[in-house]
Amino acid sequence: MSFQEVTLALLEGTKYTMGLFFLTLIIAIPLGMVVAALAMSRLKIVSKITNVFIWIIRGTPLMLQLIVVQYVPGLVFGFPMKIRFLSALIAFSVNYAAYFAEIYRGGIISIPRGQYEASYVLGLNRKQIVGKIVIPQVFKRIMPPMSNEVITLVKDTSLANIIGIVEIIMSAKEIVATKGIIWPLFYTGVFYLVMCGALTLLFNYIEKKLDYYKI
Amino acid sequence: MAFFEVKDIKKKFGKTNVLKGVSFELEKGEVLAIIGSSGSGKTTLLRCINFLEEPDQGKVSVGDDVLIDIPSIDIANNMSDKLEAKIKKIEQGKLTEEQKQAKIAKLLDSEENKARKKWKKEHALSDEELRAKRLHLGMVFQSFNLFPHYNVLDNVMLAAKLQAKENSKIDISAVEKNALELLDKVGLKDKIHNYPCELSGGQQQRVAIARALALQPDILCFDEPTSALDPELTGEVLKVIKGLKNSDTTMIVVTHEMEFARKVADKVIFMANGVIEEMGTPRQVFGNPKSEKTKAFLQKAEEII
Ligand SMILES: Nc1ncnc2c1ncn2[C@@H]1O[C@H](COP(=O)(O)OP(=O)(O)OP(=O)(O)O)[C@@H](O)[C@H]1O
Ligand SMILES: [Mg+2]
Repeated sequence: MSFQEVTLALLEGTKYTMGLFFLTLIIAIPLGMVVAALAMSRLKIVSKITNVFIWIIRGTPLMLQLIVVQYVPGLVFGFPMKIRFLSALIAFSVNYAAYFAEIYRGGIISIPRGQYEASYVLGLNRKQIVGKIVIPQVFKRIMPPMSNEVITLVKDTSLANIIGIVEIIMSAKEIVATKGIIWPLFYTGVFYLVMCGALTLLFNYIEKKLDYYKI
Repeated sequence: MAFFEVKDIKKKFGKTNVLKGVSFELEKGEVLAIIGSSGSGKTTLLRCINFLEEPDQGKVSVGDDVLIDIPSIDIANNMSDKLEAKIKKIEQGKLTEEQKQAKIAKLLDSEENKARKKWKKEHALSDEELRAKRLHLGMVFQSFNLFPHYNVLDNVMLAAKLQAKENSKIDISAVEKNALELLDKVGLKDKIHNYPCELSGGQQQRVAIARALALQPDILCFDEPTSALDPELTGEVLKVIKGLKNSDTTMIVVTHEMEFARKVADKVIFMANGVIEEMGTPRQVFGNPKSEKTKAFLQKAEEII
């Protein structure tokens, strides 16, 4: 198999990798906000349950979660997951929402009390405090940990091959198995490096844009 | 009736009695300095007046507007039958006299807290009402608390601009003009586009003063405005506050700067252990203190200098 053919085959896998990556972000970024809000709820029960949920998600391997989402509905509830990609998307979105929620929460907690108190005495209402004071500062604070997580997500997508998603690594494995050559497997590294490199540049750019003030 | 009245403010944090009934009055344009040793309740008093802390009881009014009016709750003299029965049971029990007293005190305390919670729930203000009340007062914090993500001008304009957005009667261009004037007044005209992180502590505090003034509060409170500053920056902030006195701003300044209190204040309060130990003109309090505690405190302050 020629270099070009292998490249094309891996690019085919890249579609799934990128699809999973972007869709996970689109779902997990807002879902994480909901989870963070629930985790910080004043209702003790709600925050307790949410924290247990976060603990379970962060305390078990993503690979196991993929398997659970793919097989448990069929085995336990007689409701098999027909679309493997959907299973992967659910597992990734929930998993990353839990991690993002922790980052958001950390960012919100790190805003000093004085910022709220200054806002109160200036007569800002709750909506204005959140929108004009808290969120802009949280945004800056969470950028470094978020960029870490997002770059990890690129590489984590390879876990989806455990439930048969033909992403980059799986595409390479298929070539290795059928053609008896091993180098395509190493070649996948280049694809990940390119994607992570682009994201690194993007995040550096954003962080620089936010560098006009220090906290 | 005085312009600003504070009557019998009490505040407990858990078991610690921080304010045990503080009352004072202030006329328009007067400057009140509050001095006192650490932990005497000065910050708590300012925070209660500014709605950052809810007093257990007390009254605060500006002109004809009542800002806070929380009645005292005297459980011991208004007992329900049920409570009386409970107490009787404790008294007839087998505990030692001391244990009984402690138990009864604890019971009364928790009943009082319950009653107070109930009263506050029944008299809760809407966000809008609370906001209207708290805008009578301005506050300058020890740690400035500027908004780091806005530049100097935006820090000063933000609140007024947000008000203008909600109320079309307020003119936005007037808001900006007013902010620029205030920044000129505190000597920061050339820094309006800088961010707080680019300013010295003294400059930051002056921005904070302009920011508080932008909402034209009836009374401006300062909580140790210079304590976080190097000595050489203290002067520039005190000078600004002094300048405000000349423009007839009513102020309450909690301070450890005795010279400043002596020279600028019209009235001085010395606080100790949650009560006003001594109150009077600077001449009375500094020149001829009556209380032993005041004398001891002033002597100590003298020694440090
Ligand atoms: N939120 C709180 N919870 C519990 N205790 C508190 C709280 N705030 C203040 N206190 C206690 O109340 C007492 C008075 O504190 P406060 O800050 O009012 O003193 P202060 O006179 O301003 O002192 P300083 O000169 O050090 O600023 C202290 O014993 C303090 O520990
Ligand atoms: Mg204090």
